Amino acid sequence: MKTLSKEQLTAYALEELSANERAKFDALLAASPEDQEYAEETREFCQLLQQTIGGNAAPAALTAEQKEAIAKTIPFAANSAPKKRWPIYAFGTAAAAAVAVWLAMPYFSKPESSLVADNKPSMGPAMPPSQPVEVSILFKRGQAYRDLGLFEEAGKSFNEILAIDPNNIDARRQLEETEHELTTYLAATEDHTRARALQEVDQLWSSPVPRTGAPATRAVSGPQTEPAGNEQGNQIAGNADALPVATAPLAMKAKVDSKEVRFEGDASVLAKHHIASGQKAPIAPAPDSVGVGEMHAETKLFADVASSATPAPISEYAAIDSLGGERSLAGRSRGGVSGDGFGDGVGMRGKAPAASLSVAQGLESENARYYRVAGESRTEPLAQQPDAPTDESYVAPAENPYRSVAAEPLSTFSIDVDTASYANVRRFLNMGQRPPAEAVRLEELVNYFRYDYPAPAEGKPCSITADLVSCPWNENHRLARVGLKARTDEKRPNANLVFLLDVSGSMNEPNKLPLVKKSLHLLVDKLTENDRVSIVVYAGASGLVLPPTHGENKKAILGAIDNLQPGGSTNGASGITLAYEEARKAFIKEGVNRVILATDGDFNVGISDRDGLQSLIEKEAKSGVFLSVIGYGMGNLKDSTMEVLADKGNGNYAYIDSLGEARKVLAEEMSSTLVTVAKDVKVQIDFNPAKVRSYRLLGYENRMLAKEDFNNDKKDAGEMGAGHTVTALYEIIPTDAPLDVPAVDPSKYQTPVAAKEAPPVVNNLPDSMTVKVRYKAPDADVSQLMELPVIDQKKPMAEASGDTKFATAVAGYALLLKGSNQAGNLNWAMVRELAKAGKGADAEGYRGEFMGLVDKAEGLVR
Amino acid sequence: MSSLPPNLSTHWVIAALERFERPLVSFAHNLCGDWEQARDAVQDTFLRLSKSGRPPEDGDVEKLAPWLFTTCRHRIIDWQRKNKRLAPMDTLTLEALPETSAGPDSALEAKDTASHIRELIANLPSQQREVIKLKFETGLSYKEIAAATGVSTGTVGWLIHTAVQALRTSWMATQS
Repeated sequence: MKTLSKEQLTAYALEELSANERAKFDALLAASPEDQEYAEETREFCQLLQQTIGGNAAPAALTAEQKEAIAKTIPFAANSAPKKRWPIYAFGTAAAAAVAVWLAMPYFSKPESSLVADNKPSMGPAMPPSQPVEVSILFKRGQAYRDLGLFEEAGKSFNEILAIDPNNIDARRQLEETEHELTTYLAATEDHTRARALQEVDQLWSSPVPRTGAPATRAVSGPQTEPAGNEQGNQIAGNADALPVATAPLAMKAKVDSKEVRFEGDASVLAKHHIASGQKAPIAPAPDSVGVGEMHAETKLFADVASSATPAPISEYAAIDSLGGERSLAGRSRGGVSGDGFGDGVGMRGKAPAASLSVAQGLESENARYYRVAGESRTEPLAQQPDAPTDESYVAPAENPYRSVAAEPLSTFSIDVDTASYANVRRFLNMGQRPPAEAVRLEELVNYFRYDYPAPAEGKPCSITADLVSCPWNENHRLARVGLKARTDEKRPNANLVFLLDVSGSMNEPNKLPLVKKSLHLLVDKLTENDRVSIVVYAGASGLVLPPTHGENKKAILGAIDNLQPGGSTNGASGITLAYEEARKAFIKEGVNRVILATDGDFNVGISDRDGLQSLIEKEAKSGVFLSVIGYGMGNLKDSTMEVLADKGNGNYAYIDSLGEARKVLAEEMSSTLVTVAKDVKVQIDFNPAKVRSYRLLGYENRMLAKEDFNNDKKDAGEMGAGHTVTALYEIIPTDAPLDVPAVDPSKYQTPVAAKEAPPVVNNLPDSMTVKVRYKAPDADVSQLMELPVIDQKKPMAEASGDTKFATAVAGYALLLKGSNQAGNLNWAMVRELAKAGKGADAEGYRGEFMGLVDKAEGLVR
Repeated sequence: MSSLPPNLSTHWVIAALERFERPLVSFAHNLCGDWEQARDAVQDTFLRLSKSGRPPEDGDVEKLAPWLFTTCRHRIIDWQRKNKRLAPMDTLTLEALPETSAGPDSALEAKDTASHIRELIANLPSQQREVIKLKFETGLSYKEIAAATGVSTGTVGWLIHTAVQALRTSWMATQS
């Protein structure tokens, strides 16, 4: 008794069974009402599908002329045409020949190079049978030429065969295939040349002029560079070719395998063309036969990229892909008839790129091919083009080097509570791109998370804790974790907020202005009657959209927000002036007065001189109105500008890439974002040379201060908001570690000064270091000092707190993303283990999200 | 076609034309989105068929299907690469683009049937998605789909069955 499979039922429902099968089927179906129901439901659903996506049937036909043209080409066999029809078909044949040549024209520049010989039907006597030997010689020769890639010669040979024997099917087939190969080859070489030409053009696009006017040089990461006085003035807006070594082998691979060259030339050219022109262009797949499925997947892929904001940033970043080299071309068969329809070598899926890693991988490897072609060294910067397709700017300081305690026992830096880098890096990873090394600021990644440090003592704005554990990536080193925790106010002081919103044309994208609006909704939700809100926009003419309004009048506020429209160019400065005016008008004493600037980085028209802007912001900050900056979108993100402005304005800088992040920054952490509990917070660590030989601060590269700045109250530093935690990690080489840091060779021209192994130890204190913190109360001008000596308990990492493990994991993640070459045995598995061990309760889920990002990063960074 | 003499209208090229004209033009249109381009590609395909002078074995034009679909696809690809790098996307792909604006509220917005179904289809694995499109949008039969894609008819049947049932299940889930 044969039972019906579900598959057969579906086929039956779609009427795909032959008449015989259907008869048998009907009999079996009658016996099972279940199967009948299944078939019926399937049939109904298929009808629904048909209605939904079908409907192109009507004009699916050739025109009459086209059919005539086809008919005319039909060759007559030598003995099948009655003689009287010959005149009509002679004409028809000539026309067909003309058509054949004409059709062949797009493929060849010179019609006479067409390989397809004019096909005159042999109306004369049949072919003499004594030719086969010569034919087979020619045939073999033709094949040989073809294998050698001498397509013209091959074509000639086959045409000679056809001249002898026009009915020779094999020759004809070979000719067809040769012709196809020639087409592909010509196309590929053309694209290859074009790719080279475009590559040169793109080199010019590769580095924008840095804002301070300092010449752009390649940022070198490593212990050789001394970032002396590494403040904002010392920017190197170059391109850190993070892994130049890794690029080379991939590029070589591309050249060796001719197949890869062909494909690469094609897709990369098109990729560049596509990205550079910012159009919603799908990429036509490789010239060889590509599965229909794959073509659509790729098509859809680029549609997604194009539709989400401006195209991803290109030539500034030495993105190295891990997948490009391995991407299998297995699914792509060459030429000819046997094309595998589903060349699914890439395994792309039709999902939104943000959500799906496999699509992201596909995208990333497409871009990677692009980068490989363009991955040669980039040198001169070019003045920024106003319509540069992508325009993100980052400042790239080198990693902090190891410093010897004997020479420099004091390490001084300003705290940083910005979190923008974490969100920005996350944005890249979610898009399947390796983030540029310059965009990774280790301290911002570590500080994105809240750690469970003890609350500060009464009257103190923050508490200090410190911990020394073993270093997971170097068994001879230790890690020192220093943590500050700001107090949490039970009651948030009244807030006077001015939203300064960029509504220029560039904000007209779903992840910009609409997201800004939604973010503000969340913030406004938390306001009370004692708060005041006003809205100022800048877009060409700056304007006051909402005068200072009480916080409980949510309808008016939200209405004003919802009515915002993008359009025009940006004049950041006069908008800022107006915003500060409104803030002063509604000033709340003892309250929080803040301008919140939300932009994607556009400061185009008006005062784009950053120094002028900075001094304005500094002045206002002194008078009590602080500035926070929130970055949105991509492609134009002026990360460096925004960070500086937030610094000068005594506020913080966050990057919002999603509603979830908006919720975190503006709703959950609003009090931290808005309420400053300590101003100009600086940290100085005093290392004991008897215990510590050298140290290296992880992160904070653009927060370093000179040791004199610590006690200098005029020196600006970072602010801490209520509930904020700040964490800094040092990698320490203790005095009892074996010497692995390369010693400096003494000069052979000078008698060496007696080596200062360790200066005379003043006292026999057991501490390894002392942590000192200077802070000012939010309205004070004089700083106060807190100190904490730290004794090394020789704790191994396993006994460290969950927070320490997690912070170390995040630091490791940052080091790997930056491509640090000082990270010992660090690898992704280590990062993952530490993160898992330190995950803890993770109420808001951010740590869990981090673990997902670790996986993505591992896939992109090798 | 009535202008052609009777013995010609039974010529195998003409027979192939009659049998495959509609599916090929639909198929080509599916690939490139443009009717004119589709027709040109199909005409070119038949011209090549005729030039090749290769009648099918035992006169069964069905056997020509794989070659026809493959050649047609090649012509579209070649033409697009040569002339127009910006090929319009087929409507199914366009409408299946997920919304990029952030926000849980937009995800919960009611979707009408058509776009919902299209989204479900877009989320299918690529092979299944293709056969579904070829079956319901282009209107090819199992055999034609097998010829067009180079897999066996059995595989096509299985793919369609899996895809249809998956879509039906997802669809039913949202309807309740």
